[in-house]
Amino acid sequence: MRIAVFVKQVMDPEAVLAFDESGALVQNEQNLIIDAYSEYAVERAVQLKEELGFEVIAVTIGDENSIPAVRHALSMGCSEAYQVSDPDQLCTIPELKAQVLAAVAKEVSADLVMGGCMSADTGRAQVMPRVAEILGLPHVNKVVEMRLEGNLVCTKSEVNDGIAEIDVQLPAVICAQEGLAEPRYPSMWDIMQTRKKTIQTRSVNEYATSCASTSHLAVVLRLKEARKSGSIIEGETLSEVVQKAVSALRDEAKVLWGA
Amino acid sequence: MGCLSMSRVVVFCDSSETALRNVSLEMTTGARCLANELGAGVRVYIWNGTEEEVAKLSTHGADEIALLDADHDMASNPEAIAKTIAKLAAYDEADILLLPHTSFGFAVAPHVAALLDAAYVPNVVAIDGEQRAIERESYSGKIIERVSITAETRLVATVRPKAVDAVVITESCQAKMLNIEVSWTDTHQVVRNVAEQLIGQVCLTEADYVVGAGRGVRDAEGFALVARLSDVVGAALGATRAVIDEGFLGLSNQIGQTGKAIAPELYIACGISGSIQHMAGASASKCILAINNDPEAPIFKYADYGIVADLRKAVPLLIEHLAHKTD
Amino acid sequence: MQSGEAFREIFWNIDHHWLMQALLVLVLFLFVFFLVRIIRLTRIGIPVARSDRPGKRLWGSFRDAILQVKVLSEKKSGIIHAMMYFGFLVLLVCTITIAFDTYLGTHFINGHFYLYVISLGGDIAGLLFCAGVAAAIVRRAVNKNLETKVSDIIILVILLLVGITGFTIEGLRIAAADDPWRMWSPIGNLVAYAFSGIDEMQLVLWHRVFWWIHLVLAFAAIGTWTCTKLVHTFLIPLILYRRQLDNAAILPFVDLEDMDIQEIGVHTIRDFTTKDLLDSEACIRCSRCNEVCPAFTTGKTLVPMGFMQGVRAQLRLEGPEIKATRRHKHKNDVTEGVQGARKELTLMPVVGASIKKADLWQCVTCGACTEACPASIEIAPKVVKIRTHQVSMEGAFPNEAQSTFRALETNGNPWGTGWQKRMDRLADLEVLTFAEHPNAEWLYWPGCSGAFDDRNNKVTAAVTQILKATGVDFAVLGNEERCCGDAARRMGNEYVYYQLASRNIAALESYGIKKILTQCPHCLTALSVDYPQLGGSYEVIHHTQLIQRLIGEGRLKPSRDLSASLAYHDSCYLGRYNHVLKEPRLALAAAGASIVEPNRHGKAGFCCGAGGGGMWLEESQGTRINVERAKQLLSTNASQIVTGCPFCLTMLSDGIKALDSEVSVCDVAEIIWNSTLYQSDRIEPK
Repeated sequence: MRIAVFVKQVMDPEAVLAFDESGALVQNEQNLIIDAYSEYAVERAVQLKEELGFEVIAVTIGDENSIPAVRHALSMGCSEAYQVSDPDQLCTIPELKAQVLAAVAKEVSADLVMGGCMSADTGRAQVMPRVAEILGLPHVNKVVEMRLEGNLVCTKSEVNDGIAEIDVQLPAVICAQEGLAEPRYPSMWDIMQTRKKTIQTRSVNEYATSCASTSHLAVVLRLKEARKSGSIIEGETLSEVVQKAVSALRDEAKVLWGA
Repeated sequence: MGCLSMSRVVVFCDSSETALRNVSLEMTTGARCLANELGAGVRVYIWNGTEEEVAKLSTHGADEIALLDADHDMASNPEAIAKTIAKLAAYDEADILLLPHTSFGFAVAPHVAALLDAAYVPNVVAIDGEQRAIERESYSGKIIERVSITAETRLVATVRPKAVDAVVITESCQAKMLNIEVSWTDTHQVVRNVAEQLIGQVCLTEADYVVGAGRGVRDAEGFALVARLSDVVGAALGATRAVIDEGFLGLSNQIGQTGKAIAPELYIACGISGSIQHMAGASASKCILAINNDPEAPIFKYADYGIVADLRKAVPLLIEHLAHKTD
Repeated sequence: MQSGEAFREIFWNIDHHWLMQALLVLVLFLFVFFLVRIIRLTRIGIPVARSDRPGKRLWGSFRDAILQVKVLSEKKSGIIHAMMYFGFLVLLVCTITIAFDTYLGTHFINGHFYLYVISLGGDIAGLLFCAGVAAAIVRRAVNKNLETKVSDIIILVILLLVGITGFTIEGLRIAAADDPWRMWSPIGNLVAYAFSGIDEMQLVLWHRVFWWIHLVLAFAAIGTWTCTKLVHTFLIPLILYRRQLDNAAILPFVDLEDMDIQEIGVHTIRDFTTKDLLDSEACIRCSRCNEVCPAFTTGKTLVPMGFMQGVRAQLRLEGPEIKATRRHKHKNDVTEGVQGARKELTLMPVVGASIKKADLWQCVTCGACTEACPASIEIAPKVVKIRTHQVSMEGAFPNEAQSTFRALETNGNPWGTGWQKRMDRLADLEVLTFAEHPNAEWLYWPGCSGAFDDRNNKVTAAVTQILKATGVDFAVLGNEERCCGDAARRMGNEYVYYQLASRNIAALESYGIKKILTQCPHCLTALSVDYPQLGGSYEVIHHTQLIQRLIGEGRLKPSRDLSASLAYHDSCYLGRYNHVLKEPRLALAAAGASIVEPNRHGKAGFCCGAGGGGMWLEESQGTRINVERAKQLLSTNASQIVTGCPFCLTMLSDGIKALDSEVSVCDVAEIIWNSTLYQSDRIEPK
C-alpha cells in the first residue's frame, strides 16, 4: 500500500513579519520550517509504515526553499519524496494547489492521501478536502486518531464540539489535526541517511491544467495591531494585589459587573 | 463600480445547535450588511427553531428563513451536511455562503466550497458591508487578510463567533418562512459514535467570560481550583494543549490555533504562559487578566492586568473576592 | 656508640629461603599477569592521545597519587587512607632495602640507618598502617553509605593481619634473641614484653610459624593485589598521568563534515576510550563523587559511583569477548582476508547496562565529581558522550528537550523567540553592531539570556553601561549572533551544536573578530573550549574578568561604601571549568562588600541545576537542585546573593522564591555598576 503525504514548508510561527513595497510578505531571511500539521500527518503515515510496511511518499510544492520540508519528512522515515517545483508560487491559490497535489497523488498511485487539516501560516484549511473532491475520494477532516482495519480507515474526528468516530473506505483522504501523532525528532543519523536519498522533482506546469475555473480572490494583507500590554499589578501582599485586580476589572475595564 | 446583481447571501446555522446561538444572529447581521451593498437577499437556513428564534433572525436581518426538515439524523455526519448544503446553495444560486467558524464549520465549509468550486475564506473576523469586504486572520493572528467581494466572487466563509456584532435591524418580523425537506444522501463516511466533550454550561466561543487553565495548574487539584473559579464567575472553561493532554478537559475545550478562537469580554488566563499558538485563539479577548508565577511569561505582554503569583495562592483569593461581587 | 654496630641478622631463625624465593617468583608473576590483563582489557577502547606535556603529567601523578594531595582534601577518610598509604610505603621501602642487602650485597641494615629508618621508622609506619587499616574497617562497618562489599572487608582484614603478624614476629624475635637494639623497635619491644617468660625454644618455634604465616598472608596480598581493588595503587597514578590537562569541559571533536561518519558518541562499552575504561577500573568506590553530586544529593537516582562501577562490570563482562573477537578478526584478516572476519558481536548498550536512561539526563555536567575524585576520574564527559549517541543516533531524549532543540534550530535561541528580536533590547541600550562599527576592539557577546530574558536584560544594561563609562571600544553581532551551542552539545545534540557554532564562527570570521567578552560562562566555555575544534580561536573572557581588570587599571571606580554582606555563588562553568574564582570576588570586594562563602564554594561549588542543559530539562525526582542550592546560600545569612551566570541567576531566583525568601539575586556587573553610579552621582551632582 502507498500513502502520499503532503507537506508544506511554512514560516516559523515566531517570525517577525514585514511587508515589502508591493505589499507582499517578506520571505527572505525568514526561517522556514515544516508545518506542524504536515508533521502530524507524516508521523502517523510513518508509524503506519513501521507497523504495516507501507510505502510513504512525501510531496511538497514550492520553490527551492520547500526542499527542506520533504528532506525533513524523509528523515522522519518517509520512503520517497517529490518536490513539485513552483518558482512563481502559482500554488498559493488553494484550488490550483489541490489540482496539482491530486495529480501527483494519482501519479504515485496513492491508496491513502494524508496532509494537514490546515497550515499554521495561511490557515486556509481547504486543500485536502479539495484534493478529495478532485480525486472523487471520501475524506475526513480534523482527524485526531486513525487506524486501518483492512480496507477501512477508522478515525476519530472533531465534529460539532465532540469527537465523532467516522469510518471511510480506502482509498481516502485524511486531514490531520493536532493530536493525531506526536511527531518524532529526527536524529542526526536519520538526517545523514537522508542526505543520500534523491528527491524527485516535477514542475508545476506538468500538472496545473489552468486556473481559469477557480475564482480568484483579491486579497490585501496588513499586520494586525498587537495587543497593548497592560500592567503587572503590584502590592505588598498577594491579597492586596488580587483586591486591586478585582477593582481594576470593575472600575477600569468595567467587566464582570454587567456594566 | 457597476451594478452588482447578486441573488442571495446565505447563512447556514450550526446543525448541532439545539438553541439558536449568538453566532447565527451575528452572521445574519453580517450577511445583511453585505447584502445591502450587493443588492441581494439574505436567506438563513436553520435546522430547528422556535418561533421566538425565528423572529430574532428576522429582526437581525433575514429576508427568508428556511427551516430544514431532514428525514434522517444527519447532524453529526459532516459529509451528509456538506452535500446537503452544497445542493441547497447550488439551487439558490447563492454567491456568498456564511457558516460559523466552529468545528461544525471547519468540517463542513471547505467541503462545501470544493463541491461548489467556490473560494473558501475561513476564520473571518470582520465583515465590512460598506466596503464590500470581509477580513480574516492568518499567520497565527498576526496578519489580517482583507478580501474584496466583487460580482464574480463566489465564496464560502466561516465567521468567528463574536467577530460581528449582532444588531437588530428592523423591529418587524417580515421574513418569509420556508419549510424545506431534505432527503438523505448516501455518504462515504460512516459515523458510528459521537462523544460530546464540551464541559461546562457555557459554550467557549459564545461566552462573555472565559477562564483558561494552563500548564501551571500542574495537577488535578490545581485544575479543580481553576474550574471553581470559572463556576464562580459563570464563565466557560477552556485550556491549553498541555492541560488537554493531561486529560483534565476534552479537546473541544482547547483554546488556540488548533482549538477554539474565543473573544470574551474577560479572559482570565491561569497558569498560561501565552504561546503564539494559544494566543492565536485568545488575543481577540476584550480584556485579559493573567495569573502566572513567572514574571517573564509572554502572557503578560498580552494581558491588560497581570498577577505574578502561583495560581494556587492567587485563585482562591480571586474566588473569595468574586464570590461577593453581587454584594 | 653502640649503635655504630647496630644491625639485624636477615633471615634470622628462617630456613628454606628457596621456598620463599620460589613463592616470590610465583607471586610476582601473578601480580604482573593480573595487571597486564586489566590494562589489556581496557585497550578494547578507543586509543586516546594523552602523552603530551610529560613533565606536567608526571607532576600531577606524583602530587595526587604519591603525595596524596587530593585524598587528603577530605579530612576523615583522607587521613585514614594516608596512614595506610604512607605506612605501607615506608614498610615497602624497608622490605626492598632488606632485599637489596640480601641479594645485592649492600649494607643498609646497619648503624643509624637501620636504627632510625628501618627499625624505628618501620615500627612507626607499621603502627600507622595497622591503625589506618583498623580505622578503615571500622569506617566501612559503621558508614552504611559506602556500599561496602565483603571483599572490601576481606582485603582490609588480610592487610591488618599482615601488619599484626609482622609485629608478632618482630616481638618474638626480640624476645627470643634478646635484641640489644630493642628500644629502637618500640612496638616490637612492647609485643616482646608480652612474650616474656616464655621458653626460648617455644619462642623460636612460634617465630618460625608466624614468620611463614606472615609471608603467606603478605604474598597472598601481593599475588592478588592486581586482581582486587588494590590495583588502584597502580591504575590511579596511570590515569592521573593521562588526565585531562586542558579545560575539563572539553568534549571529543565530531567532524560532521565527514560524509562517511558512521557512529558518534558512546553506544557500547568499546566506544569509550582506553582512558575511560581505565577510569572505571581505577574507581575504588570511595563515594566522594556521590557526596558532592547535585543530582544524587537531592534524591535522584543518578549515582555517579554506580555509573563508574557499571562501566567496570560491563567491561569485565564483555571485554574478554570483544578482545577475543578482535584477535580472531585480526588472524582471519591475515589468513582469509576481510571475508572471514565478519563475526559480529552483539553488545549491550551502555544505556540500560551501565546507566539508566533516566539517570543519564539527571547529570548537570557540573564536574563536582571529578573535582572531588582523588583520581580525577572524568564522569560528566562520559555522560555527555552517551547522550551524544542517544540524541544523535537514536533520537532518544526527554520529551521536553525537543522544543528546545527545535527552537535552537529555527531561531538560534532556546526559547524560540523570533531571531530578529535579538537586537531589540540592545538597540534600546544604544549598542552598535559590528556591521555599524566594524573596527571595535571587543565583541560583546550578551548571549541568549542577555538578549531575550527580561531579568538578564538588566545585567546586559549594567555591563553595557560599564563598558561605555570606561570607554571600552566594543560592538555586538546583534541579530547575527546565535546561541553558542553549549546546551545543545552537552545535551548530546552535536548536529544542532554544529549548525549554531559554524554559523557563529562564520559571522565572527567575517568581521575578523579577535577578542570576545561574554556575559555567560556557558558562552565562555563554548567559544573558548568548543569552537577551536571547529577552527574558531579567539581570546574570550568573562565580564567579571574584564570588570576586575578595569577596576585594577583604575578605569572603573566603584564606591567602597557597600556595607552589605554578599554570598557569592560560583557558576560551575565559570569557577570550576574556567578557573575564574578570584576576579568576581576581588571586584565585589573593591565595592566594599564583605563576601560570605557558603560551605560549597570555589572549585567545590554546588551547581544551580542549569548545567548540561539542565535549564531546559525537567526535574521529576527528589528535591529541586536550585532550591537546595538556594537553601545553602540563604544559610549564610547574607543580605544578597551574587553570581556571574545568567542561568544561575534564573535558577537561584526561582529557588529563593520557592523558599518564600525575599533575598535578591544579582549579577556582579549590577552590583559594581550600581556602586559606581552611586559614587559618581555623589561627586558630580547634575
